Amino acid sequence: MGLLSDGNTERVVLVLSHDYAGDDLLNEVKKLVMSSKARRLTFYVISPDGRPKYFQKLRPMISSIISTSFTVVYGGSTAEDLRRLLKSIDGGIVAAIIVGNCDEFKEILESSGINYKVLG
Amino acid sequence: MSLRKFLRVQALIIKFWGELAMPDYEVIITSDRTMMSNHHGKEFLGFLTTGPALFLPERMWLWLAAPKVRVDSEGRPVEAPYGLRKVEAKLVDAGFKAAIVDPDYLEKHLGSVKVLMVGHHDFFAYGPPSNEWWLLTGKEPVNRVSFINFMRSDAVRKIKGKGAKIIVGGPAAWQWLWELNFWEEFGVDTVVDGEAEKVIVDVVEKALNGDPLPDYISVGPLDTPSVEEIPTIKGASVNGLVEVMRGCPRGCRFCSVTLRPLRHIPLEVIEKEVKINLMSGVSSVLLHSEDVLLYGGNGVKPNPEPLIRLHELVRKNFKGPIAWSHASLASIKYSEDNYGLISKLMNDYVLNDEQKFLGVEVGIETGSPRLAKSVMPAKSLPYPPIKWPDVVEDAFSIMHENYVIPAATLIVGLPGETPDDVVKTAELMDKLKYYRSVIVPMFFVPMGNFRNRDWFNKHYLTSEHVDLMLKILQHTLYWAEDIMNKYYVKEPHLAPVRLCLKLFLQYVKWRASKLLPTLTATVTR
Repeated sequence: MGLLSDGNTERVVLVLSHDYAGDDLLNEVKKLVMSSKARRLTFYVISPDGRPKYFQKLRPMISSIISTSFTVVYGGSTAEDLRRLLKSIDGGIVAAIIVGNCDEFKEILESSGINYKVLG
Repeated sequence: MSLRKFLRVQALIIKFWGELAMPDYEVIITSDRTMMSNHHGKEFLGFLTTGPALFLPERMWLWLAAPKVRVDSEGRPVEAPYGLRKVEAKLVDAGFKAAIVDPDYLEKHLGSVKVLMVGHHDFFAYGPPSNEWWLLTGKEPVNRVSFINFMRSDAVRKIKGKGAKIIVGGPAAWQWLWELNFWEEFGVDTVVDGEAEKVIVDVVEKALNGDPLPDYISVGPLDTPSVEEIPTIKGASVNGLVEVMRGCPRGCRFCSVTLRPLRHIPLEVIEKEVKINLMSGVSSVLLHSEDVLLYGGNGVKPNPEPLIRLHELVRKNFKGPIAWSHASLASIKYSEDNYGLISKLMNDYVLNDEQKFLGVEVGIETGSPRLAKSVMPAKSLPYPPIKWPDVVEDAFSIMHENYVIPAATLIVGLPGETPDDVVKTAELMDKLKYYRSVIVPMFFVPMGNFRNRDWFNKHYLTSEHVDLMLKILQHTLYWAEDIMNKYYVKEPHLAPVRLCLKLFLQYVKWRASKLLPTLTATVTR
């Protein structure tokens, strides 16, 4: 079975606000990687910066993950995009991290029964 | 029907049948000219692509550094970068209609291509030594210019325009994270970072099915392919490069390869790939590993038996030039001191009527035992880091005596480096001046500072650094001329290349002589 199809993957949703800056996400993801039992991670990203500009905020995080395979998937920028993303994800979401000021997204995660952490 | 009309109809019929006969490759693998070249059969000349065009017009520089390769009627190159060959082999083995195509022939496959895969080892010139030539000269290196022009070419635009997916990858995949504007402009769909064998079939399948693709895939150490999962190449590699080992056990802090597990490629697979290259007319064998002398070895200690068998096998099939991509200085010293292995390999297998020397890249990195212990404590193993300068000098002496000619790297500006570390490195350069070699400094440049000359001046123009650079320059200019005169690029058909290189050397000497008074004043200040 190919790497992308393998079931041993943990899914993490990241919601990044436009004004986010800093190391909070990096530190949180490092903790997640160290505690993860899964072989791989998939990050689903909601960001108003669009693709691929959203990688500007993810660069430190990506550079720091050296022990685990991971993929990054862009899910869009709006609350509706997040709703659609959550419906499309096949499998459980191990963590959701909201970075910055994103109230409308919190409601969607709450209504989907997904626990999330807020940073920044 | 007039003759003119008849001939026109004939041409159309021939074109029709020709296109009908063209295999319909749905996956095209390619790169720009600086990668898709055999560098006149001289692997080391490829390093000229990492610099800007100096003294010569850019077109001439590109011809010198990266001439076109021979292609077949489908535009498939006779020799292609080894990494691309591995991707091609994996996809072909999985049943895809995939092929490596020369960048000048992409439009031949416009009708069939659905996925364009582009590989490179230094997409945007952020790797060494490209980044330092950029910093020193203020001009973009030709590999960056060539790649950007390639991605902006009509062929690539048309391929993207018809809805094909673009997947990029290679050792420099991380560089796309720093060039997001280009990522957007070129319409790249997915960036793959790491050893791709276990992921690439999935990605291509998704791309062909029209499924959503991830933006970024990073393959970690646990998902690197086993030896059985690494495919055998289907076509020849540039200058006969053949992998003998993957990974490295030394754990140097500045190197990402060491994070991956060590895998030794079986001799029968190596032989198969050597034969594929030879049958395609490639006239050299380049054994590739991070440390060729650790092939079949025990951790960091070379084992003579597998190395002898490896070279026996190559010589059984081929009498021409053999080279090693990399070897560690500690391995060179250990294997000669304990087994007489370097002299045995050179005298019994490498040197013959067709080969008078063996080229290899080695890493000095620093002459400071303190810094060696801090950033690369296992580089000197099995010798202790305190002995590192002696290991370097002994290894250079062994190489000189046995006609092994190294191109050696030094890393300047490592985090934690002190002026005393630089002085120790300069002292080591004094000891190495007797040994035939080329030494190239690599500047440690944090991301974001390549265009910042002020940053460079502030960090690298101390008197200690200038003293070190002067010694390196004098060493390399002296020995480069000796190597050119006695060993390198001696084939008659390469006379124009030789002339250009000699002129370039003279130019560098002249420029250095002009700068010498200023540089000497800096040192004595």
